[in-house]
Amino acid sequence: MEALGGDLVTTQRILDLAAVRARVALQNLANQNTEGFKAYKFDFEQALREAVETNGGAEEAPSVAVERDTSGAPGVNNVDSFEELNALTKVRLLQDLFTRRAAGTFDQLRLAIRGGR
Amino acid sequence: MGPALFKGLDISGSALTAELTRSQIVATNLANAFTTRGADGQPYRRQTVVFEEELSDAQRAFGRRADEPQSAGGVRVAEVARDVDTPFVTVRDPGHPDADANGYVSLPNVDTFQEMVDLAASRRSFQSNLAAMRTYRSMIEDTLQNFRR
Repeated sequence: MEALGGDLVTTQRILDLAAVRARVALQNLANQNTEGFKAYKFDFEQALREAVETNGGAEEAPSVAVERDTSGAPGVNNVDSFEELNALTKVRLLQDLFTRRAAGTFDQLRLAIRGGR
Repeated sequence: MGPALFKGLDISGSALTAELTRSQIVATNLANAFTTRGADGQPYRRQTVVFEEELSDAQRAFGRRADEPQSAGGVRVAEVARDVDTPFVTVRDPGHPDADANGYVSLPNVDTFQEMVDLAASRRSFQSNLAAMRTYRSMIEDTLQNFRR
């Protein structure tokens, strides 16, 4: 399936990463007033870069590295709500783009199966 | 609960619920800022809300992946506590029925300005979680729309 659906693997991986980033943002936003909460951090851009470079991470996708951002004074909440809202908006656009792309690939496949009709 | 796709809405929803509780407690504190006779006959004591990060049932059951928010479930009100550390405010008012022998009245330990600050923080959190909820919803809508054929 390399020729036809190979691109979908990368798209799927990117959508998976986008879902993780969105949930990280939502969880951080929900806890912006939780005393002592330390934000989750996830290097989304880096993960995207890896996904593209490895064409979706070969056979098994590597697990996603989500860590705690321990910056700031101990016991003090370090959620930056504007940053998280920002990230969420970017993820939304990216998700839109890549679901369109996937749908386009499916359209092409359908066309090919029908013999161009 | 429901499908994983809608999990994000539950996370924001939990924050809205928690912030609502918090603003209700602020309102209670402000309403009782001058209540000299509480339930125990003492002046009213200010209430504080303690938030706690909510982890999903699966996470708690298995006791692992504690730092993975993939299955995390937002925030919850862990406790509504009474502030017994801040002392009552005493003012001299000999004519007051609750004045002591020296003419001093103990007023609740509610700091009106502190409550207003809390309310502002709560409001800001409420709004940003609502905005996040909207964005997440449009994300789901876009996705469904894109695959509609």
